[in-house]
Amino acid sequence: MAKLMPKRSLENVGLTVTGLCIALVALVVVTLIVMVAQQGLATFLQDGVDFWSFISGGNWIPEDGRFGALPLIVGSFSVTLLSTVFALPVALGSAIFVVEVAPGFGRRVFQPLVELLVGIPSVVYGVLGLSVVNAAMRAIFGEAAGTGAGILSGAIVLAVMILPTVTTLSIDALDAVPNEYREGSYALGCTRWQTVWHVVLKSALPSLMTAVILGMTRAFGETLAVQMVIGGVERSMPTGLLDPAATLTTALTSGLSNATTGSVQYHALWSLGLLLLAMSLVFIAVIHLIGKKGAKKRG
Amino acid sequence: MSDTTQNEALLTTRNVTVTYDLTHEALHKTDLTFKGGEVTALIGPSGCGKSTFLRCLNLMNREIPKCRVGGEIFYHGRNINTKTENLFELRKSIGMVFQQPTPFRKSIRENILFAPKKHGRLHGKDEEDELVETSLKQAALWDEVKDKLKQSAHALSGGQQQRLCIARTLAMKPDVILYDEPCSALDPISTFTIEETIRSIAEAGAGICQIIVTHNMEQAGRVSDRTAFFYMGDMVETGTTQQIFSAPKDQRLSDYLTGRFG
Amino acid sequence: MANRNLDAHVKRIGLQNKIATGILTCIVGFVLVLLAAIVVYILVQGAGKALSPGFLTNPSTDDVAPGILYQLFDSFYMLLITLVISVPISLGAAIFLVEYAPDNWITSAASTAIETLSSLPSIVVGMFGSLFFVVTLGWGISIIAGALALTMFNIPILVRTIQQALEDVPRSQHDAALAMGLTRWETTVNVMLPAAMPAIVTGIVISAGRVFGEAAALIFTSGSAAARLNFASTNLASPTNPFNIFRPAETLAVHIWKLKMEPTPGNDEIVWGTAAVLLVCVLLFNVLARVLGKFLARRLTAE
Repeated sequence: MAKLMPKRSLENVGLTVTGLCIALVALVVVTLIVMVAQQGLATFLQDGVDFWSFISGGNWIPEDGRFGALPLIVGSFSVTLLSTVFALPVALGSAIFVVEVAPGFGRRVFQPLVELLVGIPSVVYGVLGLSVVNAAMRAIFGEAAGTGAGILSGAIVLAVMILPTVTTLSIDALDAVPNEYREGSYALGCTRWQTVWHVVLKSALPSLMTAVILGMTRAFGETLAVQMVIGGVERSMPTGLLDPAATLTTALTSGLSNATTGSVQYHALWSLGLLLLAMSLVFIAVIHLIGKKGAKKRG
Repeated sequence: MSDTTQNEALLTTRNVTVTYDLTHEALHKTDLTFKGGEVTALIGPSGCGKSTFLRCLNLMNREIPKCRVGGEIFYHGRNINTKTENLFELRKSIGMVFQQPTPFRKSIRENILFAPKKHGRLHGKDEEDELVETSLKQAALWDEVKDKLKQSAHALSGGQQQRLCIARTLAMKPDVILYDEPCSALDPISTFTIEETIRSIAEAGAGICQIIVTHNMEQAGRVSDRTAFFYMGDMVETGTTQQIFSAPKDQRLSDYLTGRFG
Repeated sequence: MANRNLDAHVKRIGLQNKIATGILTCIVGFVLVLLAAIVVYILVQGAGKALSPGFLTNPSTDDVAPGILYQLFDSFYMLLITLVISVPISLGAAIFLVEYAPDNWITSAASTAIETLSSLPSIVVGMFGSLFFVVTLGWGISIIAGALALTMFNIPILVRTIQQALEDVPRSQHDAALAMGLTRWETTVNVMLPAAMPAIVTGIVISAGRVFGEAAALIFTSGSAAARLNFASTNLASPTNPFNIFRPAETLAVHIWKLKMEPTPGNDEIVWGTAAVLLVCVLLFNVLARVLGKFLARRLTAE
């Protein structure tokens, strides 16, 4: 048998090796944040673009030097919110079905199938949306829909994409409600529906909110699927749900291939990246806040 | 076995206190002495600090975040409750058996050999075979499993699993074995065999000091030579098991023994 | 009178209950139909092309029957490199968080960093990669830059699954090993990891499926130009050597995106064919993950 390393050295080796792994990850994240901030802030500090007009300007025409990101911000928020509105009832309904109505079928058949939806690549959703959703928009709304590309199409595609995330997390949330709560309610003669509505949903509310936020995070950051169906009009504010529009992510993707490193157009794209980064941090902060509030309530 | 003789004080604690979360004191200044060859039972109602005390003796409390152990613990006359104490060396000679049987997901044989191998103690197959056989015999499990040593330890019954854990501990050749409510997850018959095993280890004359935490007073009466009674984080009374059960001095102890609480 | 009121009330809540259950069943039915429709639609649209001769074996530059051979190879190769980098790092990070992490601000900062990474849009990761790996480190548009971007995308997913898998192993197993004088390192390697292995393997394969379909992080790191590969090449530095990690590469997902962005006649068929192949691969990853997990779990308990 080979000579064994003394235990203490072995423990130090383990600590060092795993510690280095996590340090590396942390370092990469810090580098990313610093780099995005540096490039993104250069627009304002170096190129002299006014921050306020960047946020509130209604025209994103980089080749003319007009950097008003408001249409993109509005686009991002409207597809995110709208897709959440579409996905939430379906996700919540499915979750209630899985946990309260048919746990056997739900756990063994339904949930694995829904999780398959997570795996479908976003470009595939995009292709599908382009040929199905946009065509449906044209068929339903006729002339008003134009090519069918627009905020509504984007939101529908996104709703399908975030559906599995929200469903799975909602299932976990409802599952975590102690059974005694349900039994107590049934013992009082309440029906299943009353129990779900008054007892289960109420006590699972913080975790359900977390599920929704995580779904929104995914919708907000989704890129290629949205890009294919939303139309990619960045120049001006969208005026309706059927109008072609753009989001922060799609403007980034379409702009990045043309912009030269160091130019004001390039920096402006990083500013969009910085906005996306900031939004992710906001989402995380909200989740933490919900968690803390939930803990306080319970404690 | 170790070269300690009967009746030498192997473990002595002085002013041992334990605090969790930096504020909650779970154990208050405890002085006890444990001798080789003896079985000591730690009894008391749940939450009285007996398990917490037991986990001080092999410094397992160090694995719990925000848990502080104060006072001195002398093992072979040396204070082990210090920052520089080598936990790994110490735990080789102070074994522990837990409440739930904890066989690893390995074969019966590998369960016994796992730790000695990792400590670099074994050389060659003959030594391994011998260790497996003697440990299993000491734990009164050999006859039941000798034909299926290569099978998964998880296929054994609960009582057998617990005896395997005792055998695994014995294979480390410790001079102290700590039992943390070893029978609370077992049926009466398995409990009986575990008690038999503990007695036979005590009477084998190897000078192993055994300390067992139990909430079962009858069990304490059956297996132990000495008993210590814990109540609300205090070690209230200690003495020979016979004296504790027949002539308790402290009112709380006699109340406990007569079933007024706990 | 009071009795009749009660009766009516009972009837009403009974009806309410029935309607609610009915609606829930409809929702679940809708989701199942939607799922089936998505999968079937893509397969039907793409199957003809995907199974046509040469599609899986020709390069995309073939004049007669353009295929996706190189994209297929690049996708798997990129996935392999990504896993080779991300699995060890994630294992290490997860073990640190479960075993060693002191309860202080450094640990919570590290977990927050991982959480941040997990919620970042992949396009931002791709953008960072396009500046840091491609420009700053000077690697150019390359497989390694793409694989590192994918690694950043994959690490938070993996760390969380591995962490969960390790935490799901009964704590008593851990304590029992420590009580025998073993180090945390030995305990993790010999006791915890084997017990958590089925869940870890399942997690890795599922994450592989997601990596396989990711495109946004790759467009600006490994590029969207179809590679020209020479499988006979022995020079690892040559841009046509398939295993050269410093050459540009185009994965299946990026291929779809590019064809959609530059519409040309005949492209649509290739898009659907590629989408069908991509979908089948991803579904296979999912099935593989479950089968492998079950198999490992059975072998572990039987032994």
